[in-house]
Amino acid sequence: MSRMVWLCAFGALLAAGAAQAQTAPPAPTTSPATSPASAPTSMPKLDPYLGKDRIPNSILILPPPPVKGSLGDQLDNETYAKTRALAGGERWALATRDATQYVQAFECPLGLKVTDWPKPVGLLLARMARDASSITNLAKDHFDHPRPFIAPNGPICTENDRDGLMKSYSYPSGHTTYSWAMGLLLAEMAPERATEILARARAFGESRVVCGVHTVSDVEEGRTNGSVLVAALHGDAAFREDLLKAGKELRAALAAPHASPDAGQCRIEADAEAHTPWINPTGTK
Amino acid sequence: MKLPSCAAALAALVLIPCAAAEAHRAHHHGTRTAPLLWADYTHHPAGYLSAADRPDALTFLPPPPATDSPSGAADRATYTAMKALKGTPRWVEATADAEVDTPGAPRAFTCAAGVELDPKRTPVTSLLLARVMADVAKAEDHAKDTYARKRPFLADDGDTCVEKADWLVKQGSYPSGHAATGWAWALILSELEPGRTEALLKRGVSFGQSRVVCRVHFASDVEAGRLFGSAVLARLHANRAFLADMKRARTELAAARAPAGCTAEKLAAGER
Repeated sequence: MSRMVWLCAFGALLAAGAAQAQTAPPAPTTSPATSPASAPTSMPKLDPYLGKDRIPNSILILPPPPVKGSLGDQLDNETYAKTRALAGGERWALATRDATQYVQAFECPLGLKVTDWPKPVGLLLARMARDASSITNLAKDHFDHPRPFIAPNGPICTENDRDGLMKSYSYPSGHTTYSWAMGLLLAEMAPERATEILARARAFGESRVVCGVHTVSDVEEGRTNGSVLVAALHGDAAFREDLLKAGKELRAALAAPHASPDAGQCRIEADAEAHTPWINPTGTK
Repeated sequence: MKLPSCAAALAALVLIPCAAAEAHRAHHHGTRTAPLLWADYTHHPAGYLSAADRPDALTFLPPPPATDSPSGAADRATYTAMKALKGTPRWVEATADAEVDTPGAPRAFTCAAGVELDPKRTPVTSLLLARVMADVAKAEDHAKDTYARKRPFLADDGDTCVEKADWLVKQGSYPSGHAATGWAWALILSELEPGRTEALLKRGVSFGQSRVVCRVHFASDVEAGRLFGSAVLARLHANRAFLADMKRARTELAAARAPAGCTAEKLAAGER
């Protein structure tokens, strides 16, 4: 999630989720239809909430990534190798979607299409994304952990990003940092849907392993990193104020009549939440 | 996550019915504090969330790894490796970290917080953290009971850093309630004390890891515990009573951090 390019349209920012893991993020692949209807025509200046000066130093908090040859490393490698068999399947397609569509991932658990999300919700998540980027890059550059696909050179779900991914490090996962933080904040704003939102946030992180661009430990500690970020944001009075306002509007939008997200997509996502490929591939809980 | 016996012994030192302890407290602090101390798990303060409010860990957590899966094998190997820590300072710390449901348990975060976390000095914060522990304990039951993962030490009757109490033997291993509570406490305290974030969260990770060192939990139990702790906290952030207590705790900690004579009232009023 390094060297994020701050996109020139708010809708595109939301669509791309602003948490590009690549050094040179590709142009957003989402259609204009996924841009929020309420998006302003001019680009607001999106500052991070915490900024580089106040972001927690997660190097001091996260455990280091598994050492080469250790148990954790073996597990990471085995999982990478085994999950290559998913290439071309439905779970693989979801991982490809999750690689670029961040906020859309939460349409099903919320039961609300992104086009109906109130503006303050999108703004808050976009500003938070800048902090997610900072907290991740700090740790990635420090831990200097290679991507799982580099050694075995297997397929990944976003081949066109291979070169970009090669230029950034693996630990912890930036997509997971951002998505777990987003899940925690949306669960707080829409508590009635907390369980569904958190299940989706967890599966979103797993998509990075399925994709082959992150290891299991990258994703696990990406979640830890995401909750570190959310705690730090909660220590900021301006953020707390924005969150209360956004939550109020989101609950109002949920209570008002609205269209449902695509049922077919929601079924695919629910299936992914019930099957962690390297833990319960057959879906038994 | 029930009361360990060593914790019971420590708790007994501060029990309300104990006249000597009461006199000791009155002598040292002058005033009688509100009766927020409790003796054992049975009298532990209730949480903030109703049953309907608690997020369902069974749905949002992944299941524990199967014994014959690569993750299951890694869990088992880590358990075996921890045997080498027996008797070391890290083992002793893990024993101390087993205390989680006494009034004084948050003292595990005192150094990291830079404030003495003590039921008498910081009663609002202490009670808040205890109530959060209760929310975690209630919310974990469904997943713990359904998965019914056996504790690591049951396979070989291996050494553990605490007594193998009946509740510990019977309760499911996944996810770790201690890790969830410790991580939620660390997150809460760092919200309250943003300047201490790194130290608090580092302690939060290590508090959970103590369960692996203690050999009463698998590494994946603890990993899931952290996930679970952050999720319970997200739900608590939508609870009015919790938010009101957070506000009071923020003021209380600011006063506890301040030099003597700077009361919470003075701080709140902006007085010198």
